[in-house]
Amino acid sequence: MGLLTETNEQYYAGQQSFTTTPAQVKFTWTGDTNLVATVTGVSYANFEVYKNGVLLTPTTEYTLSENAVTLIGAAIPTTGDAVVIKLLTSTVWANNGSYSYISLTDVINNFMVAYVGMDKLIPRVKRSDVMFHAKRGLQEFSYDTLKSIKSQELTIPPSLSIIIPQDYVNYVEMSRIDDLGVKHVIYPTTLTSNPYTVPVQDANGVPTQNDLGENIEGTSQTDERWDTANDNLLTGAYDNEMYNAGVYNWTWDKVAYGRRYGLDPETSQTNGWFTINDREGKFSFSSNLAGQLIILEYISDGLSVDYDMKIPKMAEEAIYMHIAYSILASRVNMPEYIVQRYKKDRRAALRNAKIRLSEIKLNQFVQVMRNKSKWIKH
Amino acid sequence: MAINVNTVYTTVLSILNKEQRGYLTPYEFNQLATQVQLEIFENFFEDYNQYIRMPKTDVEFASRMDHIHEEFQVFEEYTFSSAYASQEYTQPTNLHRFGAAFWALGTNSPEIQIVSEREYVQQKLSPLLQPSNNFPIATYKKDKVKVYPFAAAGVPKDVEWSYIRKPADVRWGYYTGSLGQFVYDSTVYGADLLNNGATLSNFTTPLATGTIGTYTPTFTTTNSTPGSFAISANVTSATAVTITITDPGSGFVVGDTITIDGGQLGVGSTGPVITLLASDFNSGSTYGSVNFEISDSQQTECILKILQYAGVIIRDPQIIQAAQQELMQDEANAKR
Repeated sequence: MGLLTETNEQYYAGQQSFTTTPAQVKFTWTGDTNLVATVTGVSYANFEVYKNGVLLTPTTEYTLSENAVTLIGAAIPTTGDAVVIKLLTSTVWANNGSYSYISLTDVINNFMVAYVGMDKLIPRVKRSDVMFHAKRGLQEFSYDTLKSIKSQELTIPPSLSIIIPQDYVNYVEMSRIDDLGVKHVIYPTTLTSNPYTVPVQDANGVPTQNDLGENIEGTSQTDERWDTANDNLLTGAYDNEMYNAGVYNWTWDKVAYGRRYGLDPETSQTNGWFTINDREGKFSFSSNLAGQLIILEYISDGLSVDYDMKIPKMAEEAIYMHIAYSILASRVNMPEYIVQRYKKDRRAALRNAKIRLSEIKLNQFVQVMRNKSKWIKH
Repeated sequence: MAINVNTVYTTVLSILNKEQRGYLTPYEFNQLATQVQLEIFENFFEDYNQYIRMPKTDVEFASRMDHIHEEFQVFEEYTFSSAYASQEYTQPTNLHRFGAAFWALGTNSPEIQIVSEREYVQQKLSPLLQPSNNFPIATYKKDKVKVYPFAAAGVPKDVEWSYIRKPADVRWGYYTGSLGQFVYDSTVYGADLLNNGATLSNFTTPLATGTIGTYTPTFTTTNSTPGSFAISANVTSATAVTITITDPGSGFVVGDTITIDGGQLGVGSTGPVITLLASDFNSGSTYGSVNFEISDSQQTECILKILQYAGVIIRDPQIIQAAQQELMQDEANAKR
């Protein structure tokens, strides 16, 4: 039996059409995405219902229960009426490409069936143990194996700092976006740092305390100075610096200037810098980035929200091997040669997953290497 | 296929009666048969556990595990909880051995992991292992499971149970024949079933102006769902009639009345009206039989074990010894 569980119409158009049969008022959505109704303070609906092309009103004209829409009141259809349940665009997007993933629940269920039971290496295991190792595996894979798909487009405010995303674990890349939409990498800097505590000192340099006996915190002067610094003094750039990556933007300034030698490459760039302010839980940026558009790419651990708990199929075998190894390795009286065998299996599967997920395509290699004094045969 | 209770009883009697050694009454037989069936039934699970730990074969008809599973599969049940209250689901009333429970509120009804209170608290403290509808856990105490997460509006069907029920008590049903002998009644026992072939004698209104003869009269009854209930009537005088049940039907309770339609027992006849007594039902009489539920492959062992107990009852050591020897040999062959 094929693994696809929804129709082409449900996947591509995000809708399911019905022709009403006699006395039919209930229409059951059979797509992969669960229908959600608007509940005040809880959720917004992710679908709409049309009857003969006319949009129906929730509550008064239809109700939802367990993916089944029931038309009521004036909307009760007659035989032959066309009823369409249509997902909202953002919901359709969330479902697009979903076949390339397998949910963590399915991974756990598959593992319990295929690896656990009589006459197998794992004759008995608690489902919660499998769940633990599956989730830990997803976390570990998220850090260094799976593709980083989390990113935010932000504008840097005058305060030069933005709050770290809610599900942030580590950053991948921070980029400034120019007028052409081209990314310019913003690097972290060691030129400055954000102090974790800023105690207010007395005349003798001793931190002062409040009535609770705790040190009084002041504002960081380091941050203030960095925020107001003229970056050109650090980068050596000219004031009318070019910020556009357009290849035809070939003005006199660009040709004539910027040919300086002996510069420190770490600081001689105009994209700006950022630091992580752990005290405030924010990213802080250099002053030349005020008002700039940036993209923050980061990694999470894959467990922050339910719809995140999925594994690319390219790494499915790796997660099975990870769970099997983790269970076997933590068992008493398990022969070490078996543990080692699964350790190798896990490593090999993980290596395969990394290679598959790194998107190395030969044609792209060739394209990059063309015209670079290298012959790539393919 | 189940073992016919009459086959076992007659075989046991044949062996016991050899050389006029003794006799086993139906009451004694029913007690022993129930006891023996339970013994054999309980042994299934011990044997199953033992076979799991032994080398196995995949050859059909040779796998002991498959065979033993085939023996107890008739007792497997899958039903909803019997009750729900205060987040707790009560196990089915006929549950004998718990197998697994499933949470209908999760996608595709996942299995509920049974944990102790201690494990539950530990798991609750772990952010990675929080129970959810797709990974439910439950504590199992006092015949009830308490499932986490709680259902918003719980109903008994939230939890589905897979379990083994206890075998029904064996019953060799009979009635007393015209010579005082016990006559086997093969009707399947039902507590609220009328005695098939028995006569109804509690006339609250007698027959009047009947005509001698045999009839299949029409009637009315206070039971609104009598099913295929049917009777025959043998009128022996104007006021005397014997009413015999030819089909026990269904749905009758004590106190129901059966009124023979006027003119059915002769032109101008009226009545009789019969009110049902407890003794008209299987539960209040010796009518109705329940076969052994264990499969007929256990028939030999079953008979030998009954004989063993029967030997104790009739105080005949020879029978006990002979039965024991046979049983030991059987067991030695089976587990070699």
